[in-house]
Amino acid sequence: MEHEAAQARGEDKARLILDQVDAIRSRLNAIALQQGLFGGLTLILGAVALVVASAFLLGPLAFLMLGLVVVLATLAGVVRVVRGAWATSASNERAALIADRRAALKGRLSTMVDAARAGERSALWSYLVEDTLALRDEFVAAKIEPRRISRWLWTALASCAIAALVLRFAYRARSAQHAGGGSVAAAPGEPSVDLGDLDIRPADPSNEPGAQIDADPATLQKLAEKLREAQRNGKTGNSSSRLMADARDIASALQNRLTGGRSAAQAWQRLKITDRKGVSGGKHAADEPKSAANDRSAGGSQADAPNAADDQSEPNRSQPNGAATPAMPDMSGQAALNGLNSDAPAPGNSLGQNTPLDARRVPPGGPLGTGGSAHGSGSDPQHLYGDSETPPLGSDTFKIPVEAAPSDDGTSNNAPAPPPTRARTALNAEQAPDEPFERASIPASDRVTIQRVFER
Amino acid sequence: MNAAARSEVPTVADFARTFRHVQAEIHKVIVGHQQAVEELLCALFAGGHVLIEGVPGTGKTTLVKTLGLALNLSFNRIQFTVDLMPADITGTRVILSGEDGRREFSFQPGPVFCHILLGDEINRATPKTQSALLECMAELQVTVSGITHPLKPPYFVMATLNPIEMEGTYPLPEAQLDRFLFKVRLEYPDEAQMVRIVTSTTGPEDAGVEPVFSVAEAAERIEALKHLVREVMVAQPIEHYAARMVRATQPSTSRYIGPQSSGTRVEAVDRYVSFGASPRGAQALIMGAKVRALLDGRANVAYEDIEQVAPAALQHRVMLNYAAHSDGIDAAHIVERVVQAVRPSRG
Repeated sequence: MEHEAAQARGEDKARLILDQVDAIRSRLNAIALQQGLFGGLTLILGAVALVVASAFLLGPLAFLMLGLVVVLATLAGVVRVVRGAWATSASNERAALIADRRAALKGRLSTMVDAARAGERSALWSYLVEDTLALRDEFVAAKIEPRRISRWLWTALASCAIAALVLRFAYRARSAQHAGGGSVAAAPGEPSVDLGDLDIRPADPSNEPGAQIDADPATLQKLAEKLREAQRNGKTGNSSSRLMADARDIASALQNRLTGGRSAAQAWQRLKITDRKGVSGGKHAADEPKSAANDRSAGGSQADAPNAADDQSEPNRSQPNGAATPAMPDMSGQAALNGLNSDAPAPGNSLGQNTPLDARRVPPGGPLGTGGSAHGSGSDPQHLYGDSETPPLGSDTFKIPVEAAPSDDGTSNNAPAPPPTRARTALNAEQAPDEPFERASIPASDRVTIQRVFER
Repeated sequence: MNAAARSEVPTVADFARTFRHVQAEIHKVIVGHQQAVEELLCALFAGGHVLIEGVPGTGKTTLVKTLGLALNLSFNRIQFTVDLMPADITGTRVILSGEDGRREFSFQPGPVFCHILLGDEINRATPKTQSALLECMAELQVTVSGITHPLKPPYFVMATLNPIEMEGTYPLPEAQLDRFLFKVRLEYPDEAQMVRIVTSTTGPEDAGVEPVFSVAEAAERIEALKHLVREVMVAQPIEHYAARMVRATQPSTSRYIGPQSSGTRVEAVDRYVSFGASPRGAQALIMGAKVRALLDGRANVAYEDIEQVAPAALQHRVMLNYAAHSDGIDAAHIVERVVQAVRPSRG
């Protein structure tokens, strides 16, 4: 009887110890669970922040590469963290083992748990129970695992904060882009683009189709050659370049989606192509009769330009007040720059000299500029890029998507140097405003090329 | 076991007390060699036998004699020589005349019939004679002329080896080495110990060793303590640890064992070991660790106990190759590497 009572007391004591091991196990598992959750959250949030930030900061290919690396690293990291958490989750045996090590119990708990599981009772069992119970204070759960919250919580919070900052930045950037979407076309900058340096590649599906390009014959010739070359490459198949182009397109689309259509760094701008030859100075445009004649003839072939009617309506969308811009023939080079610089109305309105009658419309508020300054790339900042109600001399306004970010697969190193800073100075008494000149007609041989460019 | 002895079931405290008492008695005579004495007693209470290695004059024979005196057990000594025959140690049948004048064969027990046997310089005997000890050590019995004669427990064999003067010796075969639970090294004494040895052995009186047990109860008490050792509990992870340690002494390319895909691979073992420890090595680890646990006042084995007995339990079981000899690597070094490799992380 007494022996049985003593045995029951011994079992109660053993139960106390095993319950304490149970508490240790629960705490260890809670920490492991937190580690898995917070660790995974940390990695995922960090990856999202990195991808969003890179969408704003990097070019398409760099974004794609970084995105892939980040996604793979995140996946691997999450798997590792979850596996780590799983590995640290504890059974009773493992909890006892950990408690033994941390409390320097020299295997007492492990032995007790093992013996209790096996149901074997050694002659020294009661001694072991008493011996372990005497050390009970050493292995309370709070001593074995003092933390209730995993350290990963702090990393998760830090990751949350960083992600919040990045997403806020992204939200603001997108909002700004949406708000300033119409003004992108009117963004300040020199609307001079060397088409010869442009890289021709398959159109981005997100781009609007039917872009028009007006340029001088030489530039268009270069464009046509590039187009032919691009088509040849497309047919003969440089698979790596096609893959690169595809990857680039995918990355661009993804980037656009993240950045709200068009990222700030890669805004599509409406620009006007000007003749590089005219850079010598608009004032001396008259000294180049051949070029001027070409321009006039180009301007006169309005009927030949496809989608001309579409483009005529396009500039109105970018003019909030709907003010009509005097249609002017194209200016080139310095002439256009000079025209930009002269905001003051010139005494003699030379519109009528070179502009067809149906294009001579003066806005209600009076002429916005005189002579060259009233041209599509004239002095009115609203119409710097050729927005005019009626395209002068037909379709000499155009829009072309240009990636403003440095391209990582650019083909030319001789891009035109940035134009000099504009200085607005009034004309002196001996100076005369620029005289617009008519554009030359487009040679018949170029029309097919232009049409193909438009179709792209 | 008589009634009085049965009523006196030793406790963990009894064990530690008795152990320390015997140890103290031995150290009345033996100067230094604390670890060797402790390992010797561990092997005794674990029920194993010991191989003692030391240069001449380090007290090998004295140690064993002192142990016999302290335990108050019967003690025999055999000086192994090259012409020693198996019958010289196991005993033989001789013709004896009876009172009635009849002559008959009678078994005359050899020196192995005792509780503590000292085999001095065992490597000087031929393998035939060495192997005569195998049956005694492993099965506590001697078979002569087809008749098996049991040995009385406790039976404890201590064999000494002289690491120098290898000429004319017969190295113990692996099978016989494996039957020794521990191999104990007696290190060369330092200056202070040497002075104490000289002082205590050249004076007019020898240090007297008090027996810990009476002659009548010595064997039973020791057997009871040995039984208590076997009651010490070992958790499964610790058994796995011992098994892992023993397996790690085997080179991964060994053709004698199966694939060690889950085992711990130790570079030094692969390079220097031709064959590692047998399962007897794991038994030796656990039994030695149990004694250590009792000495520490525990009824369970800890990882530390295994690590403490690993050098004594494993180093004579590790067969080194020529590369080890040429590089000056000994078995102790290999065992140390193995222990480091399989040591569980402290977390």
